[in-house]
Amino acid sequence: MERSEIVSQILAILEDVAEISPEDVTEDSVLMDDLDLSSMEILTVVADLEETFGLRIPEKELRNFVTISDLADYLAAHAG
Amino acid sequence: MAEKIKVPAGVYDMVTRCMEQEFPDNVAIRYVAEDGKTVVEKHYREYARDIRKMVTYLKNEVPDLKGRSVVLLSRNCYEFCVASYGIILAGGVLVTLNQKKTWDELEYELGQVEPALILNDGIDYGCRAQLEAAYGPLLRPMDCYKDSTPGELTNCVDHDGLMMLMFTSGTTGRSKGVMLSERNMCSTLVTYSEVAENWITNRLPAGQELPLSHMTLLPLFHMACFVCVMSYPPAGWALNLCGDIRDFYRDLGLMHSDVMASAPMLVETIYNDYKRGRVERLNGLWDLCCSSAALDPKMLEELAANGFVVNQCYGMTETFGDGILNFTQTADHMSAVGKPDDHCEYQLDETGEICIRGNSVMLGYYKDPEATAEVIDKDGWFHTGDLGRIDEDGYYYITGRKKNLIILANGENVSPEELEHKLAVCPAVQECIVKEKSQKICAVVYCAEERQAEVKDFITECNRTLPLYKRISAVEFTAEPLPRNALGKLLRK
Repeated sequence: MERSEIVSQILAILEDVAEISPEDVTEDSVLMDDLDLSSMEILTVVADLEETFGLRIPEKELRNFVTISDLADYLAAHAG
Repeated sequence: MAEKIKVPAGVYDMVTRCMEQEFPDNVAIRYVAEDGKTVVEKHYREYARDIRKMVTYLKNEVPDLKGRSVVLLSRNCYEFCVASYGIILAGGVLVTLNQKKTWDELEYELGQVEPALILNDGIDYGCRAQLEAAYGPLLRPMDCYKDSTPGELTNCVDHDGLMMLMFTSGTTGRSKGVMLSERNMCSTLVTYSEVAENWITNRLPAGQELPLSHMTLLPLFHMACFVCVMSYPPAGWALNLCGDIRDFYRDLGLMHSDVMASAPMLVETIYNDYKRGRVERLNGLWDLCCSSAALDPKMLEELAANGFVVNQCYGMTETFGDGILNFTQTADHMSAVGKPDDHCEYQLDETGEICIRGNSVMLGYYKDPEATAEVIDKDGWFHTGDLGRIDEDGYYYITGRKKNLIILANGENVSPEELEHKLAVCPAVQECIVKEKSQKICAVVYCAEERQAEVKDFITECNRTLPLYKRISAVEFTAEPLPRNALGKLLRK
């Protein structure tokens, strides 16, 4: 899948989970700071991404997700 | 409505009477199997048999277990509950640790308790290699007991001795082991049995029957949820276990749950679902037991006015989760933490600090008599660190915090000093304090204006090394040195 498609998926899920408009998000947006997401919301976003992309992200990877770009990088490398 | 719950005399009584005689055919534990679809049900009969197996296993593995620590390092699972009872009834000291902590913290806590064994779920949370290198020969899988024979149980628990250790954030950086006894547990069970009888059972929604089920999403290593492992068997009710927040809606959808112990962040999540018309995904959840930090009373009022029952609990690890409870469903006292019951004594000391005295107050902090003496005075009053006031109706309200600790919406306690030490490493940071702002962790940094970007990058990188709940999510810069008191100490307000 193209990286741009992955980012659009992330933005769509963010909008659904936390009602954040895609226009307010860039790849550099920090999940907890810029986007003001709680850890519960971040994990809900991750769960929805896992379902969308049909994968399970290992526990120890979760703490690496600080920005939108981190999520997109991981999915680009691991989603089939 | 409900039959009177018979509060057990101790852990032995809980297994041999509540589980094996009173409720052997009730469901004790539910969880979703590996396939993500099938719900597994364990009845109290099987639960008790597995506890007996665990006792046999531990006694064989560690013949001199009496008084030694066995650590649980695992996400929520059935075996966690089995082991909690098994360790205590094998004569060991139960220690529950947060498996998601950094190795630096885990290494310290493991070093403190000198474990005889560590039961763990095998998942790499980021420091699996260090754990194996340091403690490899002591590691056992959570289901290590499965091939053992169910053994005889004896009531070997010293009612006033050290039964379990649970760690809580220290105010000066390092965490502290809270020493708890069986007497502490039983005292709390009196309170929670009354909650079940008088408050939850008498408010059943139409069509809802007993026994009830509890969605166990908060981590079991934490007192807010661990207390359910001990308080549900006397009623014959069930725990529905969720091992990973990512599976929350899936598991809630597969396992109808009546009650959920909830940190404020979870209550807000439920509230958002309600506001956005997504109540169906909650699958009939109706009772929220809120604890760990203060909640927005307006939100609670709205939930209460729309079919939810809201219980607020002000308790702490140091009192085995016991404390002040608030069952009000109306606006007048929604912002209170509640009204003390008569199981413990409560008072405000001369500084306005809330103090508790009674059977639920811990034995002390592990290997730290000085810290113990700071919080338990000569008359036995435990000083909570929270400042309060009492209104004319006897309701307690939290007005501030005396100890330097951030308590967040997810219920986690975070030591500001620990994070300040991390930030001090950044060459651009001249001074900093870490504080709570709108329930988030905020760093206030004094540095040269042209170096602000450097500090921001440093914090972003620093956050990558921290568990989600400890991340610094806001930064404020100041061009002036931070205010200090007469002794030169940084002011936190």
